[in-house]
Formats: sequence, C-alpha cells, structure tokens
Amino acid sequence: MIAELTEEQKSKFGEYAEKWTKIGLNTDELPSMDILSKLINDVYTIAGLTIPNYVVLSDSPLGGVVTKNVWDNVGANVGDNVGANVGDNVRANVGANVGDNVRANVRANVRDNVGANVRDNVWDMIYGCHDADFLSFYDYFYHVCNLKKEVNELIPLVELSKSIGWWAPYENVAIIQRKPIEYHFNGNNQLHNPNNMAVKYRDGWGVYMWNGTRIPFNQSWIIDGEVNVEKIDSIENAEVRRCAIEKYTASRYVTESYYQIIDQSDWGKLLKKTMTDDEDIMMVQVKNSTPEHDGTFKDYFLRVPPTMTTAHEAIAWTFDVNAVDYNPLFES
Amino acid sequence: MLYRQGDLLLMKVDAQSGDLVESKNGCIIGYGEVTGHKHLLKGANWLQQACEDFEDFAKNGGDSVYLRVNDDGGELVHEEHDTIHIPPGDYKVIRQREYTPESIRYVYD
Repeated sequence: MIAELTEEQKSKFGEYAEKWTKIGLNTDELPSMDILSKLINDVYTIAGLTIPNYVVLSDSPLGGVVTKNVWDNVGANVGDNVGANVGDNVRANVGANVGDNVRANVRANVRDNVGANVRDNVWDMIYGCHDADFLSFYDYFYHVCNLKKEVNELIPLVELSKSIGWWAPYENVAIIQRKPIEYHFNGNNQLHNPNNMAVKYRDGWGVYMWNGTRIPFNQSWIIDGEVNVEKIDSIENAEVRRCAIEKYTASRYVTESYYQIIDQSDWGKLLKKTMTDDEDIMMVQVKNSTPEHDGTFKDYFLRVPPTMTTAHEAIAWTFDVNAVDYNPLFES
Repeated sequence: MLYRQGDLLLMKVDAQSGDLVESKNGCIIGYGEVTGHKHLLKGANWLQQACEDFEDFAKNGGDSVYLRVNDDGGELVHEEHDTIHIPPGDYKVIRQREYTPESIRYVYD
C-alpha cells in the first residue's frame, strides 16, 4: 500500500498534468488501422470478450450515435466489462487522496471544460481523450510509482483512449470516434469562440460556447447569426441570455430597449434596464475626456452593479473608490 | 489626489514600503487591448511590495500596484490622451473595471 508519495514522486505531478492536458486537448488524427485494431483486440481480449467483427470510425459524437442506430446488430454494449476491476486494484494499493493532484489538474483543464460540455451528446460511449484525467491517474501510478502489475491490464485501454475521442465497444462492433479538429478558449482557459463553434469536429458537428457557457444548438444564432433585442428577450434561460447580451454588448442592449435614466449629472448618466427574471442591468454612460480627431467627445458605457444610485457613485465604483473620494484633479 | 488617464487612475498615497524597481524609461502602467497603445509614466519606478507582476498588471489589470514618482515629477503619456504632469510621491495605480453578474472584468481603452 502506498500511504504517502515521496518528494521525487510528487515532483512529477506537473510533468504528468502537462502531458495529459496536451493529450486531452490535441487534435491529432487517429493512428493507423493496424495500431487501432491491435489495441481494440487487446482491450477486448483482456476483458474476456470476443474480438468484434467490425471497427467503424466516426468523425464526431453525433456520427458515433448515428452509426450505432443504423447498424443492424451491434450487440450489447460491453463498456462495463472494459477496464473493470483495474480501478479497484489501483485504489486498493493507493491511500486516500494520494496522487489525485495530477488527476485534479488534468480534470480542470480537460474533463470539466471540454468533456463535460460535449459529453451530453455522447451516448453509450466510454473512455477517450476527454477522460484524460482518469487516464493520467493510472499512467502516473504505472510509470512513477511502479504499480505495473496493478495497472498493466489497463495499458491497452489507456493507449487506445489517448489517441481517440470517445469510443463505444459493442459485442460485434467497436465504434471509434475521431478527436475534434478545433478547440477555442478565452484568456481564462474557458471554451469560448465569439464567432463559431468552440469545439469542432471533422463532419462539421460541434459545440458552441461563450466564456464557458454552452449555447444550445437551436440558439447558435447568438454566436454566428444575427442578434437583436427581441431575440435576446425570447431566450428563457437566464445564463444563456446573459451570453447573448454580452455578445450584443450590454450598452447596445440597454439603449435599444426600454430603459430608465436613474441619475444624470456632470459625471454622466446612470441607465437601468429592468429584467424580469434576472438582476437588473445598470450602465453608466460617460463622455471620453479626450476629444476625437473631429473635436467631438465620444460616449462610452460601463456596466456597474445594480445597487448603484448615481452616475458619480457608479464611475467611482469602476475604479474601486468611494464616491466621496472620487474627484480627479486632472483627467485626459 | 487623483489623476485619471483613460482607464487608469493614479491615487496619491502616503509613503509606501517596498523595493524600488529601477526603470530608466519609466513604468508602463497599461496597454490597450487592440491598439497596443500604452500608458507610460516617465520619471517613475515600480515599488515591489510582494510578488507583483507589473507587466501582467499592465496587460491584464488586477489588484492595484504601487509606484514612486521621482523628485522631479513625472509625465503620464499615451498616444491618444493628453499628457498629465504627476507630482513627486507614491501612487496607487488602479485599472478601471466593469461589472458582470459572473465576475469583475478590467477595462482596456
């Protein structure tokens, strides 16, 4: 039983987290059919199953589901047999919490981010590159902690899973899904693409994401179509509606809607858009201190907390200063 | 005393502790997100109090940082804003922010 890791073993956390994050997010093509077939055969054999008659490749999770549904006789899903007991074997030899660091790191980057948002569309499928956190756990213990005997039977599954998307093992057919061809992230490492799919597969299927929030297919117009106030107001889900408002810009949404002027002074205007099932949107509208080339002064808008009561308080808030203290000596 | 240039605010504060980070060309306190324009305070040095990453602050905003303007005073310059003369002393540098229901975001002009 490994009750505690050595300092040398702990020092490998970063290396394995990085390795499996890269595996989980790369867009590599599948290995050759010879390699794939060998790995699949090994996985089935280790699980005590008969090698499937067919290996079918699909370009996306959708393709995998379609294949399953049009195939006459895929046989029973044998996913539960694959890799069974190996987890227990390793856990039995590793004390609680030991080694979860690598897995937790990879999980944050791959599974919680990509896997969770694509997985809802995956049916009957098991381990693939998006389960890199699971795979990293065993890879780490196999190589760093020398749990060769305990993990050995899982190695073909690890090798197969890291080079594919998800896959579905049936009695007669193994459906293998290719990896995505594109991932897009924002600066906070959240899936995000303001103009197209954030995760895209070879057959054109994919997932729309706005700063980590999944946009339903029937509302993909938020990302790649025409957005207007009426369409935004028709979105029932408040979280998705916020994404649409952000895409359209809150200032445009408020000023093109019915809004109230809460306060108006030399500091600017405080505008409020009342929302029915979400917090109200409060914007402060101020003039730029520096003139444009034509001598005019451009307005700009900043969203502020809905608790603001004056434009002065709102503009002070944007600099984390109390209104009574906010009175710049010079502005440009 | 407050001095504001676009999305950056300089707040005069009491003398601060910390190590002066010598910068012959002054301190870049903010970059524009798209234009690459920069807010440069000539005649000043950063004050390192903990593990502040001044370059990251200039690019991404974040918690306030401090700097010291030399005895001759400094000049805050930017490609699209009027220059502001800054008197000697220690200053807190604050990046303008915006509210969203999910998080606070820093503003870039």
